[in-house]
Amino acid sequence: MRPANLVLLICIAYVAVLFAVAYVGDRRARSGESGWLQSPVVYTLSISVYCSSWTFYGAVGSAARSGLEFATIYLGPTLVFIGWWVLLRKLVRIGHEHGVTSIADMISSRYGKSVPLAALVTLITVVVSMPYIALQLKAVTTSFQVIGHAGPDPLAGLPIAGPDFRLGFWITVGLAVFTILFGTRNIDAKEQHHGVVAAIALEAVVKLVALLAVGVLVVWGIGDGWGAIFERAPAGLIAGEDAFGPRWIATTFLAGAAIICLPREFQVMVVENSDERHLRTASWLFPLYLFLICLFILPIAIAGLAFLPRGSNPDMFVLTLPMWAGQDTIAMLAFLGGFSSATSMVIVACIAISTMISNHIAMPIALQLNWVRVGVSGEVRRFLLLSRRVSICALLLLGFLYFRLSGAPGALASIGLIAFAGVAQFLPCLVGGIFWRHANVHGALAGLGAGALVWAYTLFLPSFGFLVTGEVVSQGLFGLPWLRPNALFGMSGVDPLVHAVFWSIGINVALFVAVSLAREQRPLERLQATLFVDVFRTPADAASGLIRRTARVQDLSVLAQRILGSDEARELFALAAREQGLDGPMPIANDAFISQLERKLAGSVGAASARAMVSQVVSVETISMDELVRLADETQRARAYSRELEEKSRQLEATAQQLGEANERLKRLDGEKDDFLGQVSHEVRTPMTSIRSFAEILRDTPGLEPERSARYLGIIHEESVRLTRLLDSTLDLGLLERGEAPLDIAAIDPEQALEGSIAACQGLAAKCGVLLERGESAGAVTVQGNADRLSQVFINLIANAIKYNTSTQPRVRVSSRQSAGSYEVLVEDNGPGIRPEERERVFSKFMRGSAHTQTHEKGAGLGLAISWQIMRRLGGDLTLDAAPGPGARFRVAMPLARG
Amino acid sequence: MSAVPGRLRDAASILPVAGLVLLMPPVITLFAAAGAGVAGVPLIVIYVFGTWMGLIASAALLARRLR
Repeated sequence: MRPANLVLLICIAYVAVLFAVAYVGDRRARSGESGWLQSPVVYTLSISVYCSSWTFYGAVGSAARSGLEFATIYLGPTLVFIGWWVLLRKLVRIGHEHGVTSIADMISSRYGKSVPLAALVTLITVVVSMPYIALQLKAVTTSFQVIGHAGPDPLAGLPIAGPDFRLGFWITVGLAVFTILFGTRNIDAKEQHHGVVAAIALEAVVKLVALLAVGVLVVWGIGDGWGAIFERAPAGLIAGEDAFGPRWIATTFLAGAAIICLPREFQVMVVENSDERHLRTASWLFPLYLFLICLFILPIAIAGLAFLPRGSNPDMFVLTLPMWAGQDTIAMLAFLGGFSSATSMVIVACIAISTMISNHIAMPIALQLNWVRVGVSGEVRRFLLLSRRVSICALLLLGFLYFRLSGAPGALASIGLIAFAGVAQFLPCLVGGIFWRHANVHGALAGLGAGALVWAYTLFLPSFGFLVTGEVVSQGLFGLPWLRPNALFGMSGVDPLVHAVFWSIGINVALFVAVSLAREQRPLERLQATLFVDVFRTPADAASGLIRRTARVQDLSVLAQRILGSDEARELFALAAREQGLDGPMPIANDAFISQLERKLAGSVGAASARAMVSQVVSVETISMDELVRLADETQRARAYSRELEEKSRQLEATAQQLGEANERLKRLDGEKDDFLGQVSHEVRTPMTSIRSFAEILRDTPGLEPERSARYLGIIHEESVRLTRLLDSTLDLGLLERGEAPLDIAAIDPEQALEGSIAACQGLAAKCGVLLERGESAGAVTVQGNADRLSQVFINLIANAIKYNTSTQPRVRVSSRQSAGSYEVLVEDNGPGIRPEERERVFSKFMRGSAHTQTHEKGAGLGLAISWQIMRRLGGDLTLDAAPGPGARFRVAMPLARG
Repeated sequence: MSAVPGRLRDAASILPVAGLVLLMPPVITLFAAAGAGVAGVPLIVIYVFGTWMGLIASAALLARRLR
């Protein structure tokens, strides 16, 4: 059998296996037992549709030409994936919440379900896909030619002069049939293709295994280990002088943008995602896949340069090296790997883009021109399917045209980078839209349009000499040198790719930001912006109350049946009716239900078209501005509010603490008051009891001897005086404490008061047998005070010292002096002193020292408290010194009068 | 490493930035300049793939613990 036929046969067999996998996948998904189909590993493998034949063949070609630069194409996505928490998680969540069907749907939905924006994104996608699909066609065609090449010497006739376009055309046709069969068999309610994903995952495994097999063969079969291979590297290949310059940055950026913005990546990553948690695994597993893919790229490139004849096509090293080594099985595996990478890319890209074309271009036009009547059974579904099939054929044909027109002379990688630079134009409005709430549709349209134009002019059109011919490239548009595609505004001497990326992305971002700032958002746009930016806080149904619409439920039912199919529509309506608590199959067409239905339809035809369709059957539509403003500002307010709350709770805490302290103080005061009252009662009761009992004796005993009655009357009088004194003291203390006792302050001589006080106490001292001494004297001093009150203090202190002195040779010594601007009086005794535990409370009301109990002298216990208050009022102090010997020492201190 | 979710989230947000710094000029040029390698493999290749693997390992660790 001729090798070409054998290859064809193997290809057909392989495709049959893929079909079987897809079929089983679809069956299992439909019967609800998805199991392994919806595992994180399958999800990750489906994302690796990123590795198209550009990777499989082109990476080695790129490595053979410019060393490590090939790695940037995989480092960019690695950085995006390990940063999944910031960006991808939000994209996937929005995709789930809003039933997003494609990147165009996502962008248009964010900017108020704008139909023109969706159409523009779709258009750019179609144009960008031309070089990308052409790249796959070129790779498959060339690999077919290489492996199908017959002859005894496996490499005879190589390098092949050019691609065989006839073969390329038939490959295109084959791919179109293949894709239509795979991707457009049915229209799911949500645009998910479980069968396709399963087949893609299988292809991902095949291409990884194939590339690893070739790598192992090269490193340990052809070469002699890593070191030996790298020794054969041409000088300057691995790390040239300017390998890590602007081009390194630009390609990393483009690859990072591409993994987010490529329609097929968006399809598998966001639309086909069945569980947000899968992203968690993919965040490291996908970078690991890329790492493994890249591991052997450099050795294969070096080996190809070293062993294969000069002039061999580096893009085919993966295939020609095993052939040169006589390893036909590995060569066939490599061919299948390349075939897998090309077909998976074409299938997914075509499904994604055809969905976009049918939803965002064909459907709006059809609705506008009344090609489809929404009310007619099956027409919308038929129209969607037809438009998708036509789109797939058109896309592949366009790809083939590009392939044919350009002749695809460049390396695979350089064609791919043109496509990357094109899709990167979506990045500003996509990322800006989900993080910046004021980004608006005018900004998105302006940025996207201008960026795409610059891209087309500087990179895309020159790549196949269409419109922008060699003359324009060298002379500039209209002969204007500053409009040369490779040196816009005079920026020459820069790598064309870096130049194009700089200008297109720069102008794109600048216009996007400037126009967004200059224009107002429409209400619906503002609503969508809030829902997208705050997706983690605001669920999609939060909007349902905002849009007020009325429609006949029959009209809605008809619409739903046309698009979703009658079974699913009936189920949806019955469920809604049950949720509304109704018995019948029809719910009430309230705002919530219409919004729910619109989201459901959007899952099939995209948000913009769904909105247009629903608008056809809705009679009145208003967006409640107040509600919208409320929702839009809710999060900001929530943030401000939580800040306020924090502040308030801090204040409250402080207040509570103050309140607690005040409460403690009040409780203490209250307790003191109770104590005081109790003590006053107690103090009053003792003399009262004695007065009462003696009065009773006098009353009840007639004929009492006159001396006895006189004695009793004397006691009654004495006790009454004591009582009066006690009450006077209590009143006095109360007045002093409240600061109400009038005190006439004047310049006085305290020594005079002290001498008077000592003289007044001499009698008491003599009576008690106490020696009252006068110690040193302060001399002539003047203080601001009240002489009577001061005497009261001195007499109280001296009298206490005399009365409670239990010493056998009792002595009291009074001295005064001036020290450091104050006048001091010391009253010392050699009595029992005051116990340390009593020192603190000695100035409290009704406090009596323990000595009190040892003498028969009875005081009210208010003397020291009153004295202390008086000294305080006079601006001085009364303290109890830590006495050096036995006995107590009280110190009265007052500031000296100035001048 | 701590299990405080806020700090893990911050780490997850900073990881790609760290990767960017390590893999972009001027840091990467430091390793391109040095000629020597390990067992015949140029240093820059070891650096790029080593950093890559390190990033993947960090991402795997974080993904496991992030909530």
